[in-house]
Amino acid sequence: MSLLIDDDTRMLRDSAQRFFAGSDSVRSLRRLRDSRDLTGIAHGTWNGIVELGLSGVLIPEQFGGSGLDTMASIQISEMMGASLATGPFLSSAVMSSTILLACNNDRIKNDILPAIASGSIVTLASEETSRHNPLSISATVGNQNGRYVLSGNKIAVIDGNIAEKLIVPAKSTDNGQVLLLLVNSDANGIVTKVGMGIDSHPVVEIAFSNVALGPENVISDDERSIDYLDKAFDIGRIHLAAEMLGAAQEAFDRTVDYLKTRVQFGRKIGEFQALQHRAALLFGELEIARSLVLKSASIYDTDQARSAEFASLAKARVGEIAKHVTTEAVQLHGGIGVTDDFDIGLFLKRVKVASERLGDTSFHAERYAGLQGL
Amino acid sequence: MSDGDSFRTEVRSWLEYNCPIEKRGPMNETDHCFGGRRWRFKDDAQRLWLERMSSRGWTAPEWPRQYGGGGLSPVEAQVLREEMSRIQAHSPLTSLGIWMLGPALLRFGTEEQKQKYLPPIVRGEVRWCQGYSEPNAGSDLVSLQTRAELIGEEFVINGAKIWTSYGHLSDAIFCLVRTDPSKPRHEGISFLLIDDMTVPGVVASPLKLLSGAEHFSQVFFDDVHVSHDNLVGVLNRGWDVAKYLLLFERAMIGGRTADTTRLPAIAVKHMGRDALRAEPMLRAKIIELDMELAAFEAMVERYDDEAAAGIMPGAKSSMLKYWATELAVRRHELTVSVMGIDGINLDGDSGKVALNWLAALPNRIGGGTSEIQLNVIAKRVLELPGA
Ligand SMILES: Cc1cc2nc3c(=O)[nH]c(=O)nc-3n(C[C@H](O)[C@H](O)[C@H](O)COP(=O)(O)OP(=O)(O)OC[C@H]3O[C@@H](n4cnc5c(N)ncnc54)[C@H](O)[C@@H]3O)c2cc1C
Repeated sequence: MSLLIDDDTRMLRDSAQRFFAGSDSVRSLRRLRDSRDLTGIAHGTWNGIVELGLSGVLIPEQFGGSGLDTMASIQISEMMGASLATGPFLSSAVMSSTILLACNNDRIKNDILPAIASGSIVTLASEETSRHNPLSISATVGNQNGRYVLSGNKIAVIDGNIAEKLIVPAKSTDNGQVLLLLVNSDANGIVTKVGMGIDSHPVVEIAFSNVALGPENVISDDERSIDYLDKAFDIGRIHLAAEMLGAAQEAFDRTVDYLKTRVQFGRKIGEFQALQHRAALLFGELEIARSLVLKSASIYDTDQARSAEFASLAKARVGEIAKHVTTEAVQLHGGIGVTDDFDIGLFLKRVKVASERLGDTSFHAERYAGLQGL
Repeated sequence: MSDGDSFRTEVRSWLEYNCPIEKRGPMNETDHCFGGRRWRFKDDAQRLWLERMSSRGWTAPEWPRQYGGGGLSPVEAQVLREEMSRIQAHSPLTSLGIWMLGPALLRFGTEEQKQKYLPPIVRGEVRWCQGYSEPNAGSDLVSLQTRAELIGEEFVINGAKIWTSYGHLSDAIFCLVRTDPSKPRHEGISFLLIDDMTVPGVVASPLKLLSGAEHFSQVFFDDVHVSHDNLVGVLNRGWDVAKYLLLFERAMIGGRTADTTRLPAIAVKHMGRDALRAEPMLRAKIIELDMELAAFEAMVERYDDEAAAGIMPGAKSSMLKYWATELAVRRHELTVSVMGIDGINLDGDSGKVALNWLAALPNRIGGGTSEIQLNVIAKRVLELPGA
């Protein structure tokens, strides 16, 4: 498998770049942030994404999508990171689509996948602990005569304030099996609490108390539930890595421009070798990060046995690199770099949040170590 | 089946049949075959492997067939590399002639020079070394002083080179020499071949590295005469040749991965899982570094794919060189730690790991130091201002 993108993917990349760069997302993010419009922030560029058909990028044509691969869909996340665009692409188009595609439930596939492709928002409500720990699930689901009752608290639900449907893992009170449930976000017994993250995106907690469900809400009720979740997490991690790459690359490019224009001591600051070497190192790290994003996507598409290893590798390494690059980007701008009015810090915040989601560097280093037999 | 696939099938079965079993598996320092007039083959398998590969031109896969090369396209050459690494086939020939002089001649040489010098390089019959650096011209190579005066049809060379890798073991040396001291520094340098180091006036004496290996040497020139035909490219334009070649040198050092056993596997084998778990700090260091190495490998793979598609890394090869050599030092240093006291006992079973560490240090210096590589990236890739 080549790590070069083919012509079709390049065309997709170019059109995504044009769209997101033209979407004026930074200005609207600031405006919505200042009016604390967390619904507006979560929706972001979603209408445009849907119009371009990107909401169905991973969904096969038979379900109304365009059936492209991960190599293609990471291009969109990268461009969203670069432009600081928001919208439920990761949650709905990437992670929820992946779970539903993986599962063995034709009825739900036929119902929901076309809806996601045409813009319905579905998200995964899986996290329960502030540090990512996907297999510790305390939410419960009881089963009485074919009726189900869901209770428990989920946190960090990405786009949980705008999703129409939630995919919720919960443990059976009968046998401890993890069930995946598809729940309407306006069902009785659901309380949603929305806060604002450092990146101005919503941080959403959802409490379920005795939410009544029927068999039609069950996506999966056997041991494969965990595999489906893993697949969704891994593809999510790869897309978060792509998003961090995009944000870090953009912050870096702006920083290099600044080094070429800012004058101190009678010369461009980019003439100082101390700064040249820092910039050169960041450039190298970004090249490594880019290669790793491509590699993890390519492995995800072609080699299931190694996709967990590479998803963790990408999430951890790209996360570290992107944090380093954006922290340096702020520093190399001096005072203006730490000013709210100036955009460079927005990249730093975006990256930090992405690096915390779905497992941080330590989480993934530990997971990677386990996969290496350590 | 596409053409690429049928070529792969052919290569695979050819290698399967022709690559001696002794020439497969992890490659040690002593497995390198440098060739040349004074070379003693380690064993028959080494000789056989060189003969077989060079008879197909596969010691220089992408060189034109008329000069003994393999005539492969970049894609085919990539297939050959992949198939070789699939069976862990050793490189049949380690040669500055192939890595550096060949590309210079193919680009700047006369037809006569190509015919005279390239085929023996492909066959590993002549061992070349590189005479650039001097005691007072290292990173600042352009200040070199070794003088070559054109007298009649001959150049007469006087001066001294240093850090010349394998100078004392080589048959021939390609040099940068000053041919016009009156011109500005870049414009008075020429690229000259001393194609026989046994001529009067050439003396090469070895210098030891930290590892104890006699790797490089000092080379003295005292009224050495060579023909005017040995000039490569235009008189006084040798810097163009040197600049072109630096890219190859950096890519070569960057792409080379000596020992590919992964750190976690080494640690598990040497310490055992339980002992390793009892040292969480050490375990964490191993994991972190292994992840950095695996990430770097993804970059090497991407650049290989680009090269196969005809996209050359250019100044980006500085980055490969920088990261490959920096990571190698950290990797080998940590390997010594994993082995503990065994790792520093030269006469013990694991003594090799300390030597590998010491042998990794010079790679951050040769071929342009790490700091110089960062300068190159800053200036040529990022186009930052100044100097
Ligand atoms: C193993 C090995 C093999 C070699 N083989 C060959 C060979 O075959 N042929 C050959 O011609 N040469 C060879 N060399 C020489 C090599 O190219 C030089 O050693 C190298 O270019 C550095 O020059 P120097 O040793 O004079 O160090 P110096 O240039 O004196 O450097 C000293 C320190 O100053 C730093 N420095 C210098 N200039 C700058 C700058 N502008 N900005 C920031 N830092 C700077 C360097 O990075 C280094 O840390 C070899 C060297 C080694 C170690």
